[in-house]
Amino acid sequence: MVQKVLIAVDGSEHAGKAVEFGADLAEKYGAEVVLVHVLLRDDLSENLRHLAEVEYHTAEGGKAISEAIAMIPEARFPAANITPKTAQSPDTVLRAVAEYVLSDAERRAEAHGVSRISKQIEDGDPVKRILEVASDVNADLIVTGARGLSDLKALIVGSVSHKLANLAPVTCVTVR
Amino acid sequence: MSKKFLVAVDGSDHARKALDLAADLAKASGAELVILHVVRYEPLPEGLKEYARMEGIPEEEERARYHFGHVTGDRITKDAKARAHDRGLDQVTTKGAEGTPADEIVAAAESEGADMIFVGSRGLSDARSLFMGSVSHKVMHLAPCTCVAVK
Repeated sequence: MVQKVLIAVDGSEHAGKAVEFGADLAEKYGAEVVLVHVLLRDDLSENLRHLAEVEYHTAEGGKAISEAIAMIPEARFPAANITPKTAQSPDTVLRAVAEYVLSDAERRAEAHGVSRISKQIEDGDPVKRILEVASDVNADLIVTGARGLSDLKALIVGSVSHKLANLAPVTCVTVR
Repeated sequence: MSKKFLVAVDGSDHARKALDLAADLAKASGAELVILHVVRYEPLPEGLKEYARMEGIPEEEERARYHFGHVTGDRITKDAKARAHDRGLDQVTTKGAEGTPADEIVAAAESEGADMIFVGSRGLSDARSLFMGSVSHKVMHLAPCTCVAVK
């Protein structure tokens, strides 16, 4: 039977649906959910970047810290100077996005009645990493959104979900 | 809203696994299950028919193949229906079609308004399935709804 459901999330709308579908299914079978996010090295959308900045580095007036720092006089807020300069470096932002996407997915899964949830951040080729995690945790089922963030590219090179469905040794669900 | 699941069967083990998962899930979520079998068939184009006549190949042969496809297809869907019943699912209907499997599965999902498609997947490697054209691969590309490739 289904004991472990792996859900790949990237913050896209389809991935959100995948979380809901996978959580629903896990709840029905009393299965565990493993949420996996592979760092969006190539596909970080403006939207997500902004969300991550607001969520994790909020400064004055709810603005993203990069904007906020630019606005405030140094003398008034000396603390602004000790804010890590790396706040905008790709890695920090990517990690923040990962945290945001995963905890959002966790909340959704919990709302669907799943109690056992684990989260994993991976770095590298999405298909390879997801397959690795799937075999590491012994997933019975892999759930992905039909189209992630890379809409246009997916049309040309074949999206993550299609590659997964072809390469995975276990049942794959492509959610639309 | 009542849910509807579509599962494609062809008598293979993978299709049987797809049927089992579809039936279990349909039962758990109160959905109706539509079992579809597609008879792989394409009528010979006129030019080829002419050629067959010239070569003295009897038309009966093609008709027999066509008939055979439908008879086995009926059997496959009947068995599948019984299997779904055995797993405790009552709301089961069967459907037959002929043509190219992937296209017919997608067309049936559209006309039935299916919420989910279940297909067995042979688990061929990517390169091989690209050349051979796997049904599940094609269905996944064209499906209007959520698609489950069962292995």
